[in-house]
Amino acid sequence: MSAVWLSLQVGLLAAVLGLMPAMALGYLLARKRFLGHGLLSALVLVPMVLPPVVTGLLLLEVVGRNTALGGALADIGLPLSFSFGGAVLAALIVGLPLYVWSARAAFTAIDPRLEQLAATLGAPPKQQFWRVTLPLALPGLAAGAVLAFARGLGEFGATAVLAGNIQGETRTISLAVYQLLEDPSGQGVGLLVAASVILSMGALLAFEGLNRWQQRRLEQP
Amino acid sequence: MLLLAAIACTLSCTRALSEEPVRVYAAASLGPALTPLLEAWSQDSGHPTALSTASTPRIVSQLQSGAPADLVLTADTTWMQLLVDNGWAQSPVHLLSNTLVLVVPADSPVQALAELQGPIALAGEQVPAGRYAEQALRAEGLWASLSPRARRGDNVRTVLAWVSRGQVSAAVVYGTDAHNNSKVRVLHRFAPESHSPIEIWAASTPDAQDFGLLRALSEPTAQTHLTTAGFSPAASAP
Repeated sequence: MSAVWLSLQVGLLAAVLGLMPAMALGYLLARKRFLGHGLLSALVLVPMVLPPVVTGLLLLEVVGRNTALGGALADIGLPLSFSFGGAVLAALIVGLPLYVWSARAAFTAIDPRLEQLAATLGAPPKQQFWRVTLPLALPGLAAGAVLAFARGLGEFGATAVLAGNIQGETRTISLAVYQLLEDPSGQGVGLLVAASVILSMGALLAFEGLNRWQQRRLEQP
Repeated sequence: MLLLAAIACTLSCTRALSEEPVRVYAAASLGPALTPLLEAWSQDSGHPTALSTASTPRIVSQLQSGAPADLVLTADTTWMQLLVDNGWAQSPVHLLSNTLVLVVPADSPVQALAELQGPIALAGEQVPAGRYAEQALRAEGLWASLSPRARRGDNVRTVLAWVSRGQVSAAVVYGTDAHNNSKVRVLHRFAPESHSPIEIWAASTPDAQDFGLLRALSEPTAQTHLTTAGFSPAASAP
């Protein structure tokens, strides 16, 4: 049961912490043309296709406790390897592509003429974004958050490498199920499987709903 | 950087409330016996514990990557020696001993080693249980006939799960894995001299906070629990 609660915490934190980066990157990729646009897009999306174990290993090379950055973070009480923080970071990075993808699609779908209209009414660019663009993209961002949450919920490879398999701290549903496969009695695995199916289905239904809301929002401005 | 700062804030808010647990990194074979023992110790001492299990070499590589362990338990001497040599663990204690057996699924009709057909599961080449298995099979002249059919599993518990579910015809596991396990039947017990002694070592790490857990594990109460689980007491102090 603690594994389910832990997975929920990890997934929710990944969805909350990913909001700002996903919003910024999604907007940047949807609206701006700049040198390295394609490279940035590929870089953001690569965790989606990279073997998660490799993603975990790369993260360990960057924020592991033996690295300068990871060591410094551990010193200030924020260890990002073999810790709860590591599980959140793994879920965040692996979920970010879906998050950004969804945010980017939402921003792309908004008619730029609406912003131009706001400009003719005297709104400065900042206000155009916060008052016009962002509210229109909100359902898409929320849909991205739900996807990132769902992806984070199921994260296995990167979590196992970066965060290990620590009971109550990094042993999320995926790791707990894998652990229980090694237990011939298999007790408790049914509950975890049921929780996974319910949470994942719930997240995808929410995603569907949010997507429909996004479409309706763009049809009736 | 901004992202890391955000994570920092959130984590310190959500996690700082609970006391830091004593982190125990243990060989997979010890998991089942250790779990209730740690729970009992937590209740008595009031200190929470967090158990992390994997194959012994994976635990070693996790410690190498800086995993914050307080206590580490390995299923053999070689890997513990490596930990000590590198300064990742100190003052190791020979906690327990184990035996090596060949098991078949409980409903298997096989009655003798010579009748064995089909795949046989062994733990990985670097994993203690896999090394012991290879030594023992070689010593008893079975390696040549069995090794072409060997399937290597991640760790000894993986291998046990395979044989318990009838996915392989046989597996070489620890005596403790077969102990009180109705899903497998011991077909053959390997002679102790057919492999290096199976010694379970426990050690603390250089900056450990174990609140006497290591000592508690060597005390009679814990030792009795562990021998009930099928381990044998450490033969003699090293």
